[in-house]
Amino acid sequence: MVKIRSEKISLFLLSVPGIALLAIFVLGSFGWAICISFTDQTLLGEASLHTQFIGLKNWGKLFTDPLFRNSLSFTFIFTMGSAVIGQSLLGLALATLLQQKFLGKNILFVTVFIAWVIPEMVAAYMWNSLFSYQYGFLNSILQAMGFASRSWLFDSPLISVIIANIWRGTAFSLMLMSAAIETIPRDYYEAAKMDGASNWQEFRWITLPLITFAIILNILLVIIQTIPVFTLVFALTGGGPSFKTELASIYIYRTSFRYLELASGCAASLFLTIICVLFTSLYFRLQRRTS
Amino acid sequence: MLRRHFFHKIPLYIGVVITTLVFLIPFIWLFTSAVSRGAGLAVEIRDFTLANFIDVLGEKEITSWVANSLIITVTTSVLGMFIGTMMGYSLSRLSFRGKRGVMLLILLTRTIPGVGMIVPVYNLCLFFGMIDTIFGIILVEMAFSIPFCVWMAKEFFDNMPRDFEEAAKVDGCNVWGRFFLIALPIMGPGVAVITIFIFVAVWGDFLIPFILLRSTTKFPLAVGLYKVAFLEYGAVKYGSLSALAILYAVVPVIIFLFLKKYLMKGMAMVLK
Repeated sequence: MVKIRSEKISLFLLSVPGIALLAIFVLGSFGWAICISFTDQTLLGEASLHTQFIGLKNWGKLFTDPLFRNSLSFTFIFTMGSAVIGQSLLGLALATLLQQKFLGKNILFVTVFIAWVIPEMVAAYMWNSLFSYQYGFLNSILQAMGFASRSWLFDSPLISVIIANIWRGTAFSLMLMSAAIETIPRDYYEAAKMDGASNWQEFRWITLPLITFAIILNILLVIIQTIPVFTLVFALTGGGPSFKTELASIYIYRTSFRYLELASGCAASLFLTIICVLFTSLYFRLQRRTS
Repeated sequence: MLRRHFFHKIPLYIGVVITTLVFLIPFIWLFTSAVSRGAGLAVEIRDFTLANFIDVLGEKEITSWVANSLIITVTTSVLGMFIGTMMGYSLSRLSFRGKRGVMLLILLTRTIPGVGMIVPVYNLCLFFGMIDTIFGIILVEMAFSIPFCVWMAKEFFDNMPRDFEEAAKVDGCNVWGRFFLIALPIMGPGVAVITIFIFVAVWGDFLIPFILLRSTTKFPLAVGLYKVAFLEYGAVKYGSLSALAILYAVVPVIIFLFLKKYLMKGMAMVLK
């Protein structure tokens, strides 16, 4: 009896360092964020020394702040454009394409894959130079085709960062979709070939119905990953010009570390976290239904 | 017959070539500018040279960034792997009430976004006096990578046969011995994959060091590259910048190309 208990205790001791780290940095800071979001804490000035409880004021201020509401709609557009439409659709298309045998198949896959593997800052650096107005590659292509140059990051900043993010993230959807398609038995396609089905018909009537659920799960996963995107957009535009690409993540950065209003920043981060947690639990619920 | 087959595939090839080019273009520019003397924004190899790479590695500030990146990532991934697998093992072998809830909580913390936590984490580091220390970065990165590691390790240990452990137990081996001498070595390849995942994630992370560090000498490569590529005014030296970007990016690329097969399997598991 004593032995079993000591055994349990030493098993528990194995997890103590992990629990300590999680408790301090994840749960601790989460709790701290909740507390601070009800105070007027700032990084500098009077309120940084004499922090006061101000109730729901931060939350009220947050939702009446037009810049925050803007940042939410930008995050929404960014997520819809780059994750739901861009990465998921392109990933599905490429996954279907890669089921076929053709020359250069590996080159295509590895290129898409490397775009996803490299550090975000390197992707930002490359796209920044491609988007450049004067000698940037995109503009030289436009000129060669007879169009006028455009100032990508100023005239259409949101579209530009969406393009960059699609380029960066498609590999994830591509891999999930390939894995899903490979679970479909090959004889289905052979039977369809016998009946004279075209490629499109095969896709429409075999592939699509059988992987619908995987597509939905993939879209949810990509949404969860795209809502908090910070580095790529921050490096490319810094949220500008004039807040036009200020995603919620960049709003949090600006209020907390540029304007030093920690409490408002905490409220905004909690809000973003809650949205992500909601999507995550939706994902788990759906996923559990299948297994 | 063959010819008809070929014509049939023309639209396919056009699509393939275009997508490949679109995805390749940024890399083509990166490479041509890294090997050109006085490189600009155009895609061209002008005056081929490898001097850019040598220049970059000769700069003291940049070598210190490389060292910082290595210190942060290696420490985080090795320590994080041990702490995470230990916790995963204990969660796999212990049975207690509320275990499901604990696992769900760990899974949830795994998906909490970095930007959602960075403000309170900054506050916490301020409180502990860990702002602008590499030690602080390592602790925070570790805390953020542990949930993933615990979850993966628990899955692995759940599926591992327990005969060896039982035998060792009969011979009087205690829990620590069973974990370090039996379970961990059996899990070898799995442990390696976990460690590499943490390594690549921390290697590429920008947000945490960007917020928590002040002095240039302590920057890892992500923040260093941001500083020289986006914050400095005047003539931009694209050649050496691209060389630096390549040196920085090549590490995860090499690692992942070796691991491609395992990664696809892991992806299939996500969908299961």
